[in-house]
Amino acid sequence: MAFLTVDQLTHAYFSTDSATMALQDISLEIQEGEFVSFLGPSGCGKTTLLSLIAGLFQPVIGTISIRNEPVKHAYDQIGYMFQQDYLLPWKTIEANILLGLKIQDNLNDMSRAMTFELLDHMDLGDTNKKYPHELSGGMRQRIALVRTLATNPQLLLLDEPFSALDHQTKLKLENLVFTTLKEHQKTALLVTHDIGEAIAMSDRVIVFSANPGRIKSEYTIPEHLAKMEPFDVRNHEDFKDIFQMIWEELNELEDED
Amino acid sequence: MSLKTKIDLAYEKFKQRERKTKKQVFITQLIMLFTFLGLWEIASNKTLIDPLLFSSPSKISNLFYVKIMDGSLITHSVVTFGETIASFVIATILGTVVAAVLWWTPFVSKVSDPYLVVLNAMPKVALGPILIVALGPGYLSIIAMGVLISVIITTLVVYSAFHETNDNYIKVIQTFGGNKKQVFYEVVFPSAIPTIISTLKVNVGLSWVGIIVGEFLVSKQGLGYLIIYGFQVFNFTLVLLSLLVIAVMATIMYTGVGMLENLLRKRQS
Repeated sequence: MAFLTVDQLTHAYFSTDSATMALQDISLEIQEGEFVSFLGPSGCGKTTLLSLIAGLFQPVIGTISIRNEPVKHAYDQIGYMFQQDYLLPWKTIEANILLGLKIQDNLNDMSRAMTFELLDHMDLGDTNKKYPHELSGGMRQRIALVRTLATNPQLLLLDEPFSALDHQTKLKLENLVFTTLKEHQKTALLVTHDIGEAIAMSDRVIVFSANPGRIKSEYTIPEHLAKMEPFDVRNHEDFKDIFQMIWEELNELEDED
Repeated sequence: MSLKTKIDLAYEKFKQRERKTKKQVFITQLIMLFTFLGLWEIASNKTLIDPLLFSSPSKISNLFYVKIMDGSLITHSVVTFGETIASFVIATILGTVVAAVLWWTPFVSKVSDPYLVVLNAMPKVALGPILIVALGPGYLSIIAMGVLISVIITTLVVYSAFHETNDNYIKVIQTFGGNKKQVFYEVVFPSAIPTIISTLKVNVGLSWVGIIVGEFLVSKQGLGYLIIYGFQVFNFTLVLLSLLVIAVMATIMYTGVGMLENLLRKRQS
C-alpha cells in the first residue's frame, strides 16, 4: 500500500474573468520513507500540488489520500517548509518552535523537551530566548526545520526551502535536512527547480511540464546515490550523467512551449 | 601610539562633535523661543499689535498664575483630558473590534464597504447637533463626538492591515491545522499591532479636535468651554492660555504613544 496516492487530479484557479488550469491529470504514488522531488519550470503548479496535499484547499477533480484516507482538511500529519523561514517576528525562537504543538494542543513537558533537544541537535540550543531578526538566514531556516519537525509529522512537504539561501549555506542545509529526515524515517516531497538539488537529495525525481502542470517523466536515482549524503552525490562521477539527462529533458520542455 | 588608542581618540572626538551639535541645536531653540516671547511682549506693550486680540506673554502668565491658584484651570484641564483619553481609547478599541469583524466575515466587509467610504468622507462634526439632542448636553455627547471623528478611519486602516497580513504566515498556521480563530490570534492581530499603534498617533490629534468641538457646542466645563467663554467676553488672554494648555497636553499624549511605539518596535523589529 502506498503512503500517499494522488489519483487523476486536475486543479484550476477561478477568478471572475477566467478559469486558469494549474494541474492536469496528475497521478502518482509515494511509498513510506521515500524522498521524492518535483522538478520543473515555474508555473508548473508544483506549489499548488503541495498545498493540495497539505489539504489547504480541495482539488476541482480527483482525489488525494494518505494511507487510503482522503485528505479532507489540513492534515495534522504533515509538516510544511516554505521558501523562506516565515518565523513569526514578534515571537521568540522558543515560542516559534513550539507554535505547531500549541496549535494542535499537544504542548506538554515531553513534547517541549523533545523540541528543545531537536534545537540543540541543530547547534541552536542557545538561541531560544532570541528573536528571529537577530539570527542569520541559514540559522532561521534551520529553526523553521525544527518548528516543522516539532509536531512529529509523517510527511514533509518542502517547498523550495533552500532557494533563498547563499550557495554554501544551501549545501550544508541540504545535508542537514537529508540526514535528519533519514534519521527520523520521514517521507518527504521536495519542490525545486534546481536539478542538482533534486538528484542529490531524492530517491526519485518527477519532472513536470508547465501550463498546465503535467507529469512529464520520472527518474529513479540509482540506489548507491540515493543513500549518499547530498554533498557527496554532487561529487560522485555518476551525478553528471543523470544531471545531463534531466537537463536535456527540461530543455526539450522549453522548446515545446 | 597603538591602533587601539588612535581609534579611541577619534571616537572621543566624534562623540564630542555630536554633543556640541546637540547643544547648539538646543541653545538655538531656546533663543528662538525667548526672542519670540520678547518681541511679542514689546509689540503688545507698544501697541504695534492689538493687545486686546493678541494679549501678551506677561498677561497670559499672570492669568495662568491666578487660574492655577483658584484651582479652576486644573479642573477644566482634567475634564478635557479625561474626555479625550476616554474617546481615544473607545475609538481605538471599537475601531479594532469592528475591523476584526470585517476581517472575519468577508461578506459583511463587502456589503459595508460603500457605507464606510461615505461615512469616512462625511464631516462628522456636522453630526454634532444630532448627538447633543440624542445623548443630552453633557460628557456623553462630547465623548461621542470624539469617538465618531476617529472611529471610522481607525476601522478602515486597521482592517486594511488585517487584510494585508502576509499570506505565508497564515499558511504556516494552516499547515499545522490551525483554525480561523488561531490564525487571527497568532498571526493577523499581532502583525497588525504596528499599524494599530500608528493609528493611535492619528487618533490623538483627531480626538482633541472632536472633544474641543464638542465642548464648543455644549459644555460648561473644559478647555473648549474656556475658549468659547473667552471669545464671548472678549478675553483673548484666556483663549490663548487655553490653547497653550491644550498644546502641552496633546504633546504629552503624543509623546506617550510614541514611547509605546518605540517599546513595541524594539521588541519585534
